[in-house]
Amino acid sequence: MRNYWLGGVLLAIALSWIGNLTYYHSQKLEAPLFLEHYYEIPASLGTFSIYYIRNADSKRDLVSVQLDGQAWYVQHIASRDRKGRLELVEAFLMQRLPGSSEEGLKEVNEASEGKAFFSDGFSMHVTLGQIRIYPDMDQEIAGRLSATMSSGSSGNWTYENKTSYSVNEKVTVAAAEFGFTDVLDGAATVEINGAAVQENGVVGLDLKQGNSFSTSITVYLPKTDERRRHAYWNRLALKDDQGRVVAQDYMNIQPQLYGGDLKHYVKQRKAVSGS
Amino acid sequence: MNIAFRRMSIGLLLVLLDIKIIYFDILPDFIGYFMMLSALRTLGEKHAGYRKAEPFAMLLGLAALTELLPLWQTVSWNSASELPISSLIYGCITGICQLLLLERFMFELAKHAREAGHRVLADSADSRRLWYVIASAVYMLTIPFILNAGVEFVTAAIVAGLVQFLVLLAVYFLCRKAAKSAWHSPKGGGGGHVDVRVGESEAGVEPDGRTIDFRA
Repeated sequence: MRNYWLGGVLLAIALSWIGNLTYYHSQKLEAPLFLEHYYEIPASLGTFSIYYIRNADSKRDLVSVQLDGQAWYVQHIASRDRKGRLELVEAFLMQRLPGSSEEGLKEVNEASEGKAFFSDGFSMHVTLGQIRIYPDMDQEIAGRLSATMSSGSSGNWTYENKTSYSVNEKVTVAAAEFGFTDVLDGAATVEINGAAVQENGVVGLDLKQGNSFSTSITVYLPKTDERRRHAYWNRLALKDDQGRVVAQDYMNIQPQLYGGDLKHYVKQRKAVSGS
Repeated sequence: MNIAFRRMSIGLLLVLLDIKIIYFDILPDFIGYFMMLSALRTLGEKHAGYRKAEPFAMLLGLAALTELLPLWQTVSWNSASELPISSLIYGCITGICQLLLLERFMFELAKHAREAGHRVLADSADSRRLWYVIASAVYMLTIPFILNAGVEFVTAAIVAGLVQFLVLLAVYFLCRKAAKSAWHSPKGGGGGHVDVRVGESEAGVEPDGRTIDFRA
């Protein structure tokens, strides 16, 4: 009798270990898995975050990322969430090492792929989504409009950004350009003075000194929408009749990915890359 | 035999207590396990069943020798992720060996005590054996879940570890109790000797407090 119940105890311990070790190994990531990033950021920002999933027991930290010939260095790394062996990490990147020379960006830098370098000497080719870095606005043109108030909110799967402008100098807002409309198709709405901007972006708003107007960006990504797993920096650019940017507004949406979703997300991404 | 039980208790205490100065354990476990092995050998001369626990004490002693080298990391409860899996597996294997060692020892102690007419000691050995097996099993069942269930399981493992520690203390006191008991050979000896300490509520003790040494 004693042998039976002692055997039962040992069997239960063995099963607990075998089960947990099997599950633990099933969560092994051969290399960090980067999330999809859809970023449009101003060059003056000089910093942004990228997200990746790694094994929590990994000592491999991201050190830098090479994007379109530009090196972005990791300022610091923070763990966003963890479940079991999988950990979502946020790496804060900055464009240049402190103290290095500043050079103004002349044209849009665009990259969807890059090379990631890690603390243990490992490097890998990474697909990051789409990252566009815009030159800063011409100060003379930017002076025609002043942003008087800006607010952002999120809740019920909806992200909203509102900005009010006052006009300093006569200007025509001919077009409104919102990025990644293909990615956020059906999820994003842009309004100027409460009226939705047409798909072609034509606005045709003649403004005189002293006028004011407002813009609003609304992105709705419900629970069932897999696009909420991506990270966004969306830019709304208002252009005059000569195609010059007179105002721009940015909206940041962090990935809605938590510990409980990591396993499913990794499985899904592996299935996509394997197909 | 009383000395053997005392050696067993001291060995167990050395295993239980980990006092480290920087990395060096001033109470290394291997000394504790080898003391237990020596105690089991002595006890095995009187009651052969104790010998069945010897291989586990030997294995644990040898395994504990490797702890003198920085091969295994001790459990760092603030971050389970920093703990190499090899250390967890090592901890589990030694845990199972310890379970088999002490379970067998207490089983034989209960049997031995019953043969010697120490019913109270036998019952005590039986109940502590049961509690020890349950506490150890719960602890070892809990540990692997830390790998997957996350940090919240660390608290459960700490509680299970504390309970196991308390039960091991009870096993230590059981050994002390056995060391204080009067033992005699059921068939009049067999080559060894029996120490009977007087005044400890066992039958056949001299009322004036003398210790009687029966030698075959």
